[in-house]
Amino acid sequence: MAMKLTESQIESLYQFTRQHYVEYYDVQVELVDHLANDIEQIWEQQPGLSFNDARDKSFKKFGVFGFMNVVESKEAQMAKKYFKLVLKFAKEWLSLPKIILTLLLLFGFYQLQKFTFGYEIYIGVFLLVIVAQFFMLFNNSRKLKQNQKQTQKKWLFEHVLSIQGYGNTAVIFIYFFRISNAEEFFAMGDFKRVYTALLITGFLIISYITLVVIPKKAKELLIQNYPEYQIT
Amino acid sequence: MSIMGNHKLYKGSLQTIILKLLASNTKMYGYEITQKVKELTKGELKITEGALYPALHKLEADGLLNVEVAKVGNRLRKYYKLTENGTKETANKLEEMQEFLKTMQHLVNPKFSLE
Repeated sequence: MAMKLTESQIESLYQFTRQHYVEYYDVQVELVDHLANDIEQIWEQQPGLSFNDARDKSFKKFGVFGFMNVVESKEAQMAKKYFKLVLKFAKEWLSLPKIILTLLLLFGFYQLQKFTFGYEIYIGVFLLVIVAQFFMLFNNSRKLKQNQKQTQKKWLFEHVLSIQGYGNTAVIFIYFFRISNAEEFFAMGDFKRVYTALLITGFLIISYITLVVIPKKAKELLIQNYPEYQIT
Repeated sequence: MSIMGNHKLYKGSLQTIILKLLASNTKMYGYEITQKVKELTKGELKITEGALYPALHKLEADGLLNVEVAKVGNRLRKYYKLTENGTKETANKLEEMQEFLKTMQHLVNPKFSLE
């Protein structure tokens, strides 16, 4: 009869993936099952081989970089999923009824440029959002850590949803929103004025999506992405 | 990416191979795919694990595959299956592959192409 891995051997495989820099449980699950299958297969040919030797033999097949390729590809996949998710929610703001709010914001910001404190308000809004992002970042990473302590599991998509997603949008907007002082701000031509109003409106909407909308649905999204989230 | 067996020729075909296998098996897990390829090609082609999972993850992110998890014995297993889009894309990729094989046939074996 074919040899099967015991519960404690499976557990030691989880540890083994952690030792090889696979932090996230969702990635570990797949690798542990793979190693386990392979070890059982190896035992069929070499029944005398110890568990550790069979495991190392199987791990070698992943090549010199070990699990790195697998982890990296998973991270890229999750970043892509997150981006698609943001895009999906952003589209709602371009269709009824939300588009009315979008246009109002756009018009409001455009008009603001004529006010004496227009520049300060723009900068203020921008900084406010950044502060909110930092606040959420600290808050969420604390919560995640607590959660991990309890469950001993880290989920890649959860990490992306509640931490990694934020900073990126701000960086993009800093890059485009390059107005160094108030003088420059008031001297903008028509095209640049519309562009600037569009940028800040877009920034607000995207930030709202990443800070409020997506975290609120995090649990639902996680279950959708991780069938194993419910099983374990 | 690396596939063992007959060198670089197979490299660009990994996704097509995976899609095709899933089209004829409804759902499969990673290890099963490596074994199936080995079996079908009589050991000629071995997909390395370092190439297989990134390819699966990419196909999943592109919306061509869905994931299902089941408890099998004392461990969890991730199954992949084609989405609706995945089924369409499989047909496209297989067609492309046929075209490619035909073209290569013409290039490598010109005498058979005198039509």
